[in-house]
Amino acid sequence: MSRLVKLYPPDWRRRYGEELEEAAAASPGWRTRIDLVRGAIDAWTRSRGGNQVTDRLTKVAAALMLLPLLFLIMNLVNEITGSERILLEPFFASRIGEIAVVFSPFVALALVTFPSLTFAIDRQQGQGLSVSLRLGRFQLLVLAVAAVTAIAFLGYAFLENFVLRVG
Amino acid sequence: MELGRFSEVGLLIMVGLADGPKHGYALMEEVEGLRGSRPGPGTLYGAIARLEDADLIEALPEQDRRRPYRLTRNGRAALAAELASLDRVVTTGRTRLAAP
Repeated sequence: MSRLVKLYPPDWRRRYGEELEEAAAASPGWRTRIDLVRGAIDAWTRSRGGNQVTDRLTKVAAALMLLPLLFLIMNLVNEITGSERILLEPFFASRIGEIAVVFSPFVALALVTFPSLTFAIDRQQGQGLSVSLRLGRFQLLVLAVAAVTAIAFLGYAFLENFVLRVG
Repeated sequence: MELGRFSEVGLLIMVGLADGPKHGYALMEEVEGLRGSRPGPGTLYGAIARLEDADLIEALPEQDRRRPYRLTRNGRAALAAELASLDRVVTTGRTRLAAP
């Protein structure tokens, strides 16, 4: 049983570990084992009882993992629509500004994932019908930065394809 | 009380604490006495953790390596409200069952 108690987050074990082991020893059996595993999953998915550092790392990792996928999708759209390969050109350019502009939508979308992931994790915490999207000042700042960078990219793409190259 | 899958056990724990502080094992027996089956330790302490987070119960200093819990003022009020709500459900249900 004590091995299953080790599945719980360290903070949780420090707080309830000893009592949990005692209660588990009082009713040994496979149902208790399953209950302990379910309890461990619940403890990890709760924000206060869970490991908040792990939660933050999960969000950052998920945001970073989106970047190559988004880049691929944007290039596929470019291929299909037959538009200029403005997304690939900066790889061969030396202008940092141009590279920054091209990558801005990916940064924007990655930043947008932060508040949306907050929403998803809140939902896992079993809040029942009171699921809510927490939009604190930090999330609003992230959304503002994301919006500005996305607008910068769209402006660049519009000027590049429909204004500057006309004629 | 928004306790997810721990709502039932959470309520029974609060009922168990209504007449005074109890430690985890005694609460397990209280819940078993009230619903007829013993809650798993993960469920019991999951509910205790949620009740503590919600400021409905609080832990007292350890006694003989066991930590008793008691209802907070908020917990007592929340339990009274929950029982009043259940009472209305029970009364309505019984009245409707008795009707021809």
